[in-house]
Amino acid sequence: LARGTTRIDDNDHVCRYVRPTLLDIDPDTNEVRGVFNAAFHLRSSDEGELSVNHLEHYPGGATEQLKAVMLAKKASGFGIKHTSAFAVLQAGEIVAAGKKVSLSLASYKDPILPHEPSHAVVWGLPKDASSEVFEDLARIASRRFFLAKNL
Amino acid sequence: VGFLEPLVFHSVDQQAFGVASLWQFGKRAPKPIQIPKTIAAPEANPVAAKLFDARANAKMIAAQVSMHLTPDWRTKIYRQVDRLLDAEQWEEGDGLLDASSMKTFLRFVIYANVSTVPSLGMAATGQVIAGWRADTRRLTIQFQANDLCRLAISHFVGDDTSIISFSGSTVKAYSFLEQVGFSLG
Repeated sequence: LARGTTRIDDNDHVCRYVRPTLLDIDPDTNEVRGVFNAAFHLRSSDEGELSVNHLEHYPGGATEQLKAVMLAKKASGFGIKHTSAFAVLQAGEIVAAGKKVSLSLASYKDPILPHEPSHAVVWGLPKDASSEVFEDLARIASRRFFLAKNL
Repeated sequence: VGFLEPLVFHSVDQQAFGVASLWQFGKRAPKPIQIPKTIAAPEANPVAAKLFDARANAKMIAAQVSMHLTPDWRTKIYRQVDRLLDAEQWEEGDGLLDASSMKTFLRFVIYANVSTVPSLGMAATGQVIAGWRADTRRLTIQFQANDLCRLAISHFVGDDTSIISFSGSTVKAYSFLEQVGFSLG
């Protein structure tokens, strides 16, 4: 696959690794209740692309797919904290969130070989962190996230 | 502490306080306030030392206004600061808690008389992120230096996909929250 040329189907899913510092954790119960919108902010090193993984690259249900993503990331030397999480979004939800604020967002396959063939990117996110699109993505992701320690 | 009064946390400007002129009259010049810095032993983890300092710094800032915070508030905020800057959890690329952002957060909670302890996070820049929930809504505020912030409100349950946001001073953010009926307790 050529880098970033194959668009991910709107019905497929991508996952975003969320660091422990970007998880919304109930201060009373310590229950993880979601992710903060900063989990989707672009960093200067991101070069305008949000790094994600394409779940349907792997067979099975979401849990099996996420396990495969986690193993692949570990194999590529990416440290995964046991208190981190993976936020899951449907590619079409990302497109729709962009449309709400007149942004053209799309997810593309971006394999990093040999270890992370499921790697993908979301194109079109703004550098301006005040955009409402980030909260929209976090809102959706907060309903569908998986703690790394449970995978 | 008046909300609009500048708080001095780090150092005292000797020029501004006329220290040089005191010297001229033979009086002992006061030493500037300094935040101690941990020097890691050669075999120690330098990241752990940096995080230790950042934790201490954040708590020193909170201690300056601790009389305005309930013991429960202090305990829960300190515990969350410890979590955010835990060497076992902190990742390369994470920020160190930004002191100016921490000050803005604390000044806001005192000014707005916030009684509900928020969930705390930390952006890659080190800025404090605070999250509150009320009815079906969640509020996320990212605190910046100089009493500025950025907030967004969305619904964490139900079908309402609307989002409202605000960027500007924390004083105006508080008025904004009152307008939209988001109570911070």
